[in-house]
Order: sequence, then C-alpha cells, then structure tokens
Amino acid sequence: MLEIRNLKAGIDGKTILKGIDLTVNAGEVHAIMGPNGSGKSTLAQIIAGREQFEVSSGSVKYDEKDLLELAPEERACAGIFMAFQYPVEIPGVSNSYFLRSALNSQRRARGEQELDAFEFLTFIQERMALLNLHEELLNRPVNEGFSGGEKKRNEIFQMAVLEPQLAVLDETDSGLDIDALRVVASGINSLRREDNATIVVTHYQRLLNYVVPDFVHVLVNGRIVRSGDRQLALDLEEQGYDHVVAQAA
Amino acid sequence: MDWKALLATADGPPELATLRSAASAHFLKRGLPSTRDERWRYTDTHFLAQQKLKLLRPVIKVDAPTGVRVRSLEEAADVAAPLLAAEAEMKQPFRLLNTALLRDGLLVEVKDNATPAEALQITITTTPGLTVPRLLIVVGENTQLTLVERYRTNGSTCLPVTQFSVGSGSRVEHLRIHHGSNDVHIGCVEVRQQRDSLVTSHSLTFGGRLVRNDLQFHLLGSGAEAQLNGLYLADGEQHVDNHTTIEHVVPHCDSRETYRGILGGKASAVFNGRVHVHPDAQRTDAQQSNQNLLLTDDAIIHTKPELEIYADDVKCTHGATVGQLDREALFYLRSRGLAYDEARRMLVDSFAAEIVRRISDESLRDELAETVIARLPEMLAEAA
Repeated sequence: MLEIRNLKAGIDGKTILKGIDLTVNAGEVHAIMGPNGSGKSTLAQIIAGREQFEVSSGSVKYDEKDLLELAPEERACAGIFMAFQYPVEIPGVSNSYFLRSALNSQRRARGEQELDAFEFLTFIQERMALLNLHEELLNRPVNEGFSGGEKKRNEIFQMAVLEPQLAVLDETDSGLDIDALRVVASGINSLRREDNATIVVTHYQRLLNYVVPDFVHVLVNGRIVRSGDRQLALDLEEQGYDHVVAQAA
Repeated sequence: MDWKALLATADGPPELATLRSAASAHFLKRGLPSTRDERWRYTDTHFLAQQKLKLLRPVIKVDAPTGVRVRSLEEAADVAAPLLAAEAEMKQPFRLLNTALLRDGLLVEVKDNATPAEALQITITTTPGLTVPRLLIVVGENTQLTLVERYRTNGSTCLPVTQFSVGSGSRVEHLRIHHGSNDVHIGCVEVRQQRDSLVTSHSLTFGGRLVRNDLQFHLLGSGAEAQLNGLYLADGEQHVDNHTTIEHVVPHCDSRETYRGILGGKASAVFNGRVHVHPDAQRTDAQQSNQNLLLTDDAIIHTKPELEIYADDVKCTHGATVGQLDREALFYLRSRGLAYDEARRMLVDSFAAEIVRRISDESLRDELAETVIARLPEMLAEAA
C-alpha cells in the first residue's frame, strides 16, 4: 500500500529525514517510535502532504501512485488520513458542516453520491457512539474551545467518518488521560480492517498496549535504526532510547 | 466642481430653506476635508472637486410595518425642522452638504409602547449624479424597531445622513447594507440614545470605489447600550473607510464594537474607532475590536483605536489584528479532502460569519450570509 524508499527531506534547508525506507501493507499496524526531534512528525506530515517540507530525494509510492505529486486534498481523497498532533481550531465553521463538506468532497472524487444532511446525520450518529462523543460537539466550531482530549477524540472521530485506507496517527496519545486513551484506542481498533493500514507515531509505548502493532520501527536522527515486533516497544519502554540506539550502533 | 453653483440649485420644503442656506454658507467656508485632517488622512475626496456633479433625486422605496409611521420630509417638514435645528453647525463637511441640499428623505416615527412585528425596509436607489438622502428616525419609549437601510448604487455619488433618536427602554436594530462597485458613498449615521435603550448597528459594506461610513453614537441616559458590528469587503482598487465615535456621556453605559474586514486586490480600508468617556461617565464598559484579513500583499488596512477617557472608574478594552489566511487551518481542511479553493472560501466565509451571525432576524441573517458567499469567489480568484 505504502512504499517509502530512501526518503530524504527537511525544512528551511535543514535535513530532518536522512534516508527512510518503510513498507506498509494492507491489514498492518506499524508503530514509529523515537525520541523528540527524531523526525517522526516530519514523516507523518510529508505523507499527509504538508508543503513546507522539501523532499530532496527518494520516493513515496501509495497504491502505485507517486504520492509526492499529489496535493493534500488529493491524498485525502485517495484514502490517506493524518490525525494531527496539534489539531487546528477553526472558529466559525461547525464540526458537522466541516465534516460533511470533507466527506462529500471525498465521495465526489470517488464518483460516489453525496450524502444529504439527513443521511449524513444518521451516518455520523453511529460513528459518534464509537468515540463516546456528545451530539452538541457537532454544532460547535471545529476544535474551538475543545480540551486536549476532546481534540484528539475529534481527530479519531473524523477518521471514523472518513474511513481512510491509510491512517497516520501523529502523537494521538499525547495529552490523553488513561480513560480518554482507552476510548481513542478502542475507536482505532474498531476501524481496523483487512484492507486498511495504520501508522502510529508515538513517543511512548502505552498506546501500543491498546493498539497492538505488527511492526515497530525506531526512528533516531532521521533514520530508522531498528525494526522489530511488539517486543521492541516494550524493550524501549524498559531500557530507554539510549540503550536501544546504542545496541543498534 | 462649482459648489456655489450647485448649492444655488437647492430646492425643497420652504420650512427648511433657512437651514439649507445656513448649512450652505458653512459648507462653502469649510470646503472639502483636507488629508491633513486626521479624520480624512487616508481618504482623499479631492477628486470630487474635479467632477461635474449634477444634483439628482434618489428613488426611495419603503416597506413599512404597522406601528411605524413613515412620511416624506417634504410632507413632514414642519415636524422635521426642529429635529434638524443643529445641523447647520455640524463640522462634518459631507453632512453639511447634505443639509445644504436637503430635500429628499423620510421621517420615521414609532410611538411609545408600539410593537411593530416586521422590519422597516428602506431601499435607496441612485444613478450617476449626486444624491443626498436624509432619514430621520424617531423612536419613542419602550418600543422597538428593526430598520434595514439598503443602498443600490450605480456609479453614483451618494451622501446620505441617517439620524436616530431612541427613547428610554427601546430596542433598535439597524442594518445598513451598501453594495456598490464603482460608486462614491459618504454616509453619516448619528444615534442618540436615552436611558436603558439598546441599539444594535450592523454596518455591512460589500464594496464601492470610495465608501466612508461615519457613525456617531451618543449614550445620553444611564443603562444605554450600543452594539456596533461592522463587516467590510473590498477588492480591486476599492476603498472603504469606517470611522466610529461613541460618546459615553453619562454613567453605567456599555458599548461593544466589533468590526471585521476582508480585503483583496489592491483594496485599502480604514478603521478608526473612537471611544470618548466623559468625566461623568463612571462605570463605563467599552469594548472594541477590529480584525482584518488581507487576501493579497497589495491590500492595505489602516486601523486605529482611539480611547479618550476622562473618568477613572471605567473598563475599556480595544484590540486590532491584521492577518492572512491561516496556513495551518488551510492545510487542516485540505488534509480532510477539501479542495484548495473550497478550503479558502470556507475560512474566509467563517471569518465574515462572526459578524453576520449577530443579526437577530433569521431571514436577514441568511440573506447576508448569501451575499457574503456570492461576493467571495471573485475576491478569492483575484487573490489566487
């Protein structure tokens, strides 16, 4: 589904990713872990299409398409979703209007019928239940005045509505208390299918207790220094990044 | 432009003849405002002097609900004359010019305790030439009025003046909608509020070659509250200037002012919000904010709050911002599948919606929301 080859990228002339190789197949959950500043979020944002980053070499293929050629909205319509580390507040635009416009925009791109207001409401009510969200949230402006936990839940709610093929969760666990973490994790798990894939970007292993990865990659200083299974995340938790990185060296 | 010759053509109700000639003399003495005058620093009107303007009569269409009495100024000149007594002494040049040529306009009266259910709709249509409509709105005590004042212009030069007198305990909502493209519109609105009255003003400007709105609020009775909302959209080479003054004369009055502007092309705009708290006006609570969204590098905004406070127990705040479309928000919307143009339109529209949503009547609110949406594609295409 996703094939990243020798990806080098940076911002403002500074190189952050120094040659990333990563293959993600349908049905898989990959965790990308690493210390602060290792390039985890940069990788997530490049997949989502943030234009500030410059790719200097390498390739990113998604379903045989050159992902780097696509605008952010084209990537979204092709099934890519990134849950933001810092979800953006958009005053004056209600959550439901925003989500319906986004969903219909994606449906149009796929040649599907748009949902009218009633169909949309029926559809999202079921999705809201997944995330324990209250209906009043629909009428509130996107993320405005939301608590940290509400913002993260709202990201996963959007994911539940948009049903992406490849979801990239950028530090979705940061700032969540244990109850919110459980809700978010069970939301993520209930959306897992044979034909979709998830990349979980995280600093800590605790989310991985709930969202169990098939592969764990350790990203340090712009390179994946180790890959392994779930056990690697547990080792990291126990021994710290320094130790695991030293072993890899 | 030979002002003297133009003023000599003034005609109208004989009851107002003395007023007209006094205002005429005063205007000729003052002349057009200089850009050295701080109030006109960014709005140069001297091109008017190069024109040959002919005095025309505006077409005024009225849709009045029961409970609101509307008469033409010609018909009600005897009642209007005392209400206009101070007009020849006014310092605003274009207001003087309006008075000097005073003929067309309306006297609107709402009796004490009346409860008109519908809005009073006044639409003023102008054609190329000079028009000087005048609206006198007299609202009694413990009553209410919604006035929708619309300007439909076509290359005209319109210098309207609207004056409100609002009695104790009354509520007034005033929508002033200007939708022009190549016209000159220099308007004055004066509001005098008595005890416990509430006036909500929505000043909505959708473009014009040169638009100047001068709003003056006088809070004359305790417990009076003024809410001034403003939205201005301009692109191309348009210029929109909003000057507001709120006179807090007595204690315990509140004012809330929120103006937002969206500027594209090489448009320029001015916001000047003056709050004057008189020595007796203790416990004044005045808040002011002006926010601007610039869609291009060439658009210009001059924004200036002016607080003049002569009382010590007051709460006054103000703030102004100038910004561009939020790149983070734009990326966020696009990352969910919204096309670039749609995402931009959504963000600009939401910025304007913050003002539009303050209109209490639902159908008027919807109408204005549509007007904003209809105006945006052109502004955004120009800015792309």
